[in-house]
Amino acid sequence: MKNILEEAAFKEAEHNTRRHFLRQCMSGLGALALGGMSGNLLYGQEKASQKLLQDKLIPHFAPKAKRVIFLHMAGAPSQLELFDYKPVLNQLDGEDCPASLMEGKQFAFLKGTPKILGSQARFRQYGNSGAFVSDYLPHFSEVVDEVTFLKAVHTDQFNHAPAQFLMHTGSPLMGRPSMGSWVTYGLGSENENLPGFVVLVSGGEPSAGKSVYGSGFLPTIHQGVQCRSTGDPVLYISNPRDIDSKMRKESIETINRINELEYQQANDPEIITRISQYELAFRMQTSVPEVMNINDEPDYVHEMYQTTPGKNSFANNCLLARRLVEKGVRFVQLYDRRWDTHGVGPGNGVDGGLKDACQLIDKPMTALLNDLKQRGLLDDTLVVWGGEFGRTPMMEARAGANFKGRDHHADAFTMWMAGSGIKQGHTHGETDEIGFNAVNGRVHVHDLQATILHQLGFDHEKLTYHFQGRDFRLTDVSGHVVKEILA
Amino acid sequence: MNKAFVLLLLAVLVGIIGYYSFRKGDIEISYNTDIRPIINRKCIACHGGVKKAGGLSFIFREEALAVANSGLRAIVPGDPGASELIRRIQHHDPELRMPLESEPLSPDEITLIEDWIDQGAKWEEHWSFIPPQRDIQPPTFEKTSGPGIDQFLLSELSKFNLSYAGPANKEVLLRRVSLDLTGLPPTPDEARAFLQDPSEEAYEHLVDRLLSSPKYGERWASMWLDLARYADTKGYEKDMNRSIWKYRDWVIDAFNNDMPFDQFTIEQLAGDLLDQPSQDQLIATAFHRNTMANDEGGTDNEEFRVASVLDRVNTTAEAWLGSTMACVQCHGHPYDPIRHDEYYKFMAFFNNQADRDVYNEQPKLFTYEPEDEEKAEKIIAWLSDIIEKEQYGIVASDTLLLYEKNRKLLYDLGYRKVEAEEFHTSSKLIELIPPNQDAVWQVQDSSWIMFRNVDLTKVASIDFRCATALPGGFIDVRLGSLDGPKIGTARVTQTGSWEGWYDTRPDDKNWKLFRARLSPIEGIHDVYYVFRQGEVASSHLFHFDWIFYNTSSPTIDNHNPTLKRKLDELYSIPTVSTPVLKELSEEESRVTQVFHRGNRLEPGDTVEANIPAVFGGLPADFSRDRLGLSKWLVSEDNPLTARVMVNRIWEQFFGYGIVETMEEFGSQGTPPVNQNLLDWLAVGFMHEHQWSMKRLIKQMVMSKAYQQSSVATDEKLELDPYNRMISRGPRMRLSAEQIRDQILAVSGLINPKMYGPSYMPERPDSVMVYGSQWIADTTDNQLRRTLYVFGKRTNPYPMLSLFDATPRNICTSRRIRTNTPLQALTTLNEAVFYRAAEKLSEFMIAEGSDIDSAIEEGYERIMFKEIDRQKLGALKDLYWSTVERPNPEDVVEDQELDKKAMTLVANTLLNLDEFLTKN
Repeated sequence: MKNILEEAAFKEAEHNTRRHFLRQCMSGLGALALGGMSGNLLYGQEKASQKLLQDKLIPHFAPKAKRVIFLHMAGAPSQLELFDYKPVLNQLDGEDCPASLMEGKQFAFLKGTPKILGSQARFRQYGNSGAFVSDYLPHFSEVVDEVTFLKAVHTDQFNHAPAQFLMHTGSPLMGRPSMGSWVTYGLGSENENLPGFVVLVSGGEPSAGKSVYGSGFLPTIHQGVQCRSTGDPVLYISNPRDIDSKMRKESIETINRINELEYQQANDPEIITRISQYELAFRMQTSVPEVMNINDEPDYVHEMYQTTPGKNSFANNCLLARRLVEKGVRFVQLYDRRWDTHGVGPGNGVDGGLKDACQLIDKPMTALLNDLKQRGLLDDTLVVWGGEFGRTPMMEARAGANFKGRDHHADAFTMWMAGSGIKQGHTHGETDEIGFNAVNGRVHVHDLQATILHQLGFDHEKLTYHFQGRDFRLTDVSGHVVKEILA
Repeated sequence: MNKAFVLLLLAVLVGIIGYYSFRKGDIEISYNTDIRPIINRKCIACHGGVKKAGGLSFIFREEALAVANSGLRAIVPGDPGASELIRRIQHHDPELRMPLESEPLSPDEITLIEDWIDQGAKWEEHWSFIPPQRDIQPPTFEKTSGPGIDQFLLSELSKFNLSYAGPANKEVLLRRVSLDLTGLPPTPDEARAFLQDPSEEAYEHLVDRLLSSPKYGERWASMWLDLARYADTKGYEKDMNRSIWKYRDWVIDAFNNDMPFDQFTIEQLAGDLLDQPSQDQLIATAFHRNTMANDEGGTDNEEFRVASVLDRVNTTAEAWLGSTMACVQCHGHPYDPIRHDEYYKFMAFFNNQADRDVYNEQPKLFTYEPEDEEKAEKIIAWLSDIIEKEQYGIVASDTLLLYEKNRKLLYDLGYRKVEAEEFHTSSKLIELIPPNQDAVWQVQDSSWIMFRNVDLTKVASIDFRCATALPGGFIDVRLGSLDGPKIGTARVTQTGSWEGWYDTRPDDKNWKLFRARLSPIEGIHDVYYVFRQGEVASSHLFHFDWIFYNTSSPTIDNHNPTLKRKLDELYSIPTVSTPVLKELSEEESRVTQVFHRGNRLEPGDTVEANIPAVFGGLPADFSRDRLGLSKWLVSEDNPLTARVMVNRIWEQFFGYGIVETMEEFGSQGTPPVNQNLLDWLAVGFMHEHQWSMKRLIKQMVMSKAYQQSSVATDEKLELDPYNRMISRGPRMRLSAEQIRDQILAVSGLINPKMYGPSYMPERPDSVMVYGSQWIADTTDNQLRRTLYVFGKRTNPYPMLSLFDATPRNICTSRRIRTNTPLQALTTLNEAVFYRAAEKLSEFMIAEGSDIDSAIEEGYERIMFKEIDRQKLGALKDLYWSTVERPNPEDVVEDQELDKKAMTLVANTLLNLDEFLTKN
């Protein structure tokens, strides 16, 4: 039974509407002002911004995970070439797809009677768990005993942008807070000098654009901050030539002192947010370049991750993800955009193109799991991998039969999770014999989200935010924790 | 039986009778107030326009009353007992009780529904589909003078025991209204004129001055351009440049000339369909040419033509009707009474334009800039003098635009030159050389381009201007089709060699003419130029610039060489092209069909252009084309346009619309916080103001509501946290454009030049996207107002997106204001912002006699008021933190102010919350 005090504290926290939330920060203003006056604002102890970012809500129960790394393969990789081994599919290669399968389904590009396309990859079982992995991912096959495969994930959307929104914000429409925003809203950041929610992009922005890591109606400090591997890691983070870091510190302290005076007059809570944003901006000026500089990593690490300093790549982003979680960043979101394998031309199919794409992620993501494990971080870091949907067992043939491509498929695809209280070497869910429908252990995107929040210590039905007359939550009006995969 | 018992019995009886008389009494239950909220909250998710669970939907009355799959009727008007709905919402079995798997309805809700059915189950349209009433009167509220906005607001506030804050200081108001009306702070002169004017009319005069400033149009254009999704590139993968800035300038002028909103609407949606449209009216139609276009090789032009038509439907619906039509593309509206096929009826208005997602963006309008116009007119006048017009059938026409006149004259004289890139159609992989797209590129074996309706009578040969560093290939001239008769061939050979020949346009000396002699031919034909490789195969054989048709005995041959030179000159006067709307002729017109589930590859029934039935359908006296539609949009029959526009303008001043969801006035939007006020403003906008935006804007800024102090009390923060009731003056962060313009203005850096092509300011993240690089303009062009910053869709100027400007890929009604550390880093460190700090510090040092006065001058320059002591103290501390403070014993006369320290102070001033905020 829950401690009554805990319950009360949570109830109180639960009513943290934006107004209450800011009120709470204001109580920290005295400390802030004091820090400011004594010229010790930036290094003072109890800061308003710290209160803003930390100790936000009390988790509903003991969390297994403190932080999350979400590896999103934007464009949606084919489960049938990577993890979901279907011998029958291979036998039916080239046969007409039965009409019953197409009835009442929506596809982005499939039309007429498409043909079944056998898997282009070869599968083997690996590890003690005997998980199937294809020859597209030779390195990853070594770590299958760390992960749980979800073989029957399904979504409601079959186009990239809406499906990406659904995966990350719980709604196919633009404008809801993303998962990373919910998590930092709920848990704050472990490191007050870095944004709590960092986004790393390789291969181009996801189709859904920057809104897919926006904070929606949550306070904007919770939106994802994109960090870059080339140039200024965050735009405009370097001071102008004439301004050194001491001067910058002094000037930001002055800005905030004056803004406090302004706040006393205008009573506008937004000023408090601005004060904390200027503090964070200053701290980011040292902490971001530090954490983003991978030059100081030893050679063996570069070898392990396949990284090249200064390059924009998924490999670099994997290493950066480890460095960021090590520093206490709460939510690291990677987007790697190269997975939309329709087969509309050479290099765009589930044969060559997909295989090439896999080579760019295979070693780095394997290294990430190994590295986190070696450093003891995997115990409280949750790693999630997957696309916004899967691919059809049928061949798309939009540009004729020369290229082997698969259309978008919302009804069944594979994702995997690892770390922090997730079963090791486990497979959950199953699809039919050609991988078209999920037959058992179905996991909806909202279930996945509920599970991620659960590992972080939240009841997804209670992590809510009141907006436009109703309580919103990441999982909208559904979602069940997938208990079967919890260790 | 004792007395007490009798009394009790009586009381109970009275109660029961009272209850029943109440239930069956005169109190009419309102569908919109009482019933719709219950249905929307509890029923519509399953029984709406999409799901229709059990064959029952509550969107249309006839559907709700119809026999459902169960064979029963959910609602039998006047007979709750026979209504299955009543039985199901009170069912004892949770498996059968509605709403399924949810809390049952409350007894009160059930009673309401019963009574409503009993009273006949009368339906009402959603509030926004009912036109506003013309005779709304503001509530009288004694504390203020005159009827108006304040009466509505104050009477609402009084219900919460709230009232307005006091009036804002003159200095605060000056800055607020200047930023709101012109997007810029006042100039020092403007500020003085107002602050030193003690008269009662001072504020009104200020407002009038601001409204007549040309900067007004620049500021309000930004708002409209978000809706018009105006950008300088085409979007999608290639994201090539697009020349469409004339449209942006048209919007600025329309605002400055206070073009009435009805005319503003008609010209943009249907300017080309007006009688003898002017050049400007044609440019206005570029509104709907702002749709994205896909230049990626191998794409199906029809697919993206349809995509742009759908975007026109969605944009028109959102910008004028505040309705999200997009969902009706695939199925009936889940929540509002708009049926699937009605989307396509609406689409039929936009399905008949000539543009086809071709690379060259035809149809386009070619215009001259003023100085070039003069040049062209001069040459034309000179030509008219020396040629005998009648002899050559050259007829001057006043109805032709200058460019057309010029081309006609050239043509008539036998100067028949045509740009290769202006083809009508091409094979799939043909592209144009980036970034200017002024020559044909990706010329492969068996690729082709086609020109329509070319008069080949008397044409003896055709010259092709080409350039290649390879051995070249052939151009076959074919008639009518790809395998039509071949009437000539030109052999293209190597013209030179230059660095990176493949994708660069060489200079003149590397271009050569290649001739195809034609077999004699008469008449008008579609001409195909089919490319063929020679011995050497290549994925690109040659660049192809223009075509010249040589006629036998052309008129120009009768004249001396000066004429030929003049014609060359006339032809090459620079033009500006703008994609515009053009209606297809009747014989070319397209049929519009419903797309099954929104898929164009599954067309269904053919439909005729019309507006959704919920708006009553298009009245008979309106033409069934874009002109009729645009006239209906601004007619009194339309319940939405005026409300939607009034709401947008309100939001610009007060931070939130009266309907917060500016993009959605349907039942899924938020209800208006004050519908009477919204309707009263809308009616006034249409009738009293005759659609004048300046008058509407003046009405808003003249209200006491707008002129309040923005200081919030704790009570107001509690009761009106977002200031939706306007219990105080507006206080919010400035827009991206306002922030950058303000910094450029107060520092004196600003380049006030209006109009013209967009510019690319310097940025740290270089964009080396193939073919359309961001080539930074390092001249003072980059100090022009922010609305002229080049809009690159796939990679917008970072400062703009960091401050919430939209990439303008699709129509956007609202920018959500954020507050992030990245914004702080931008205003602290971005190069132009820092230059502004340097410039401001120069001013401070020049104007100030000592540190105090320098800082005072600087603050006053940016905030138009005196700095208070504490703020001054903080800034002085900052100054001294950078410069060694002289020993107090040493008396230092006229100590020179430190430039670096003062720049830091200026940089700090430009980052104050009060400076970044409108308050």
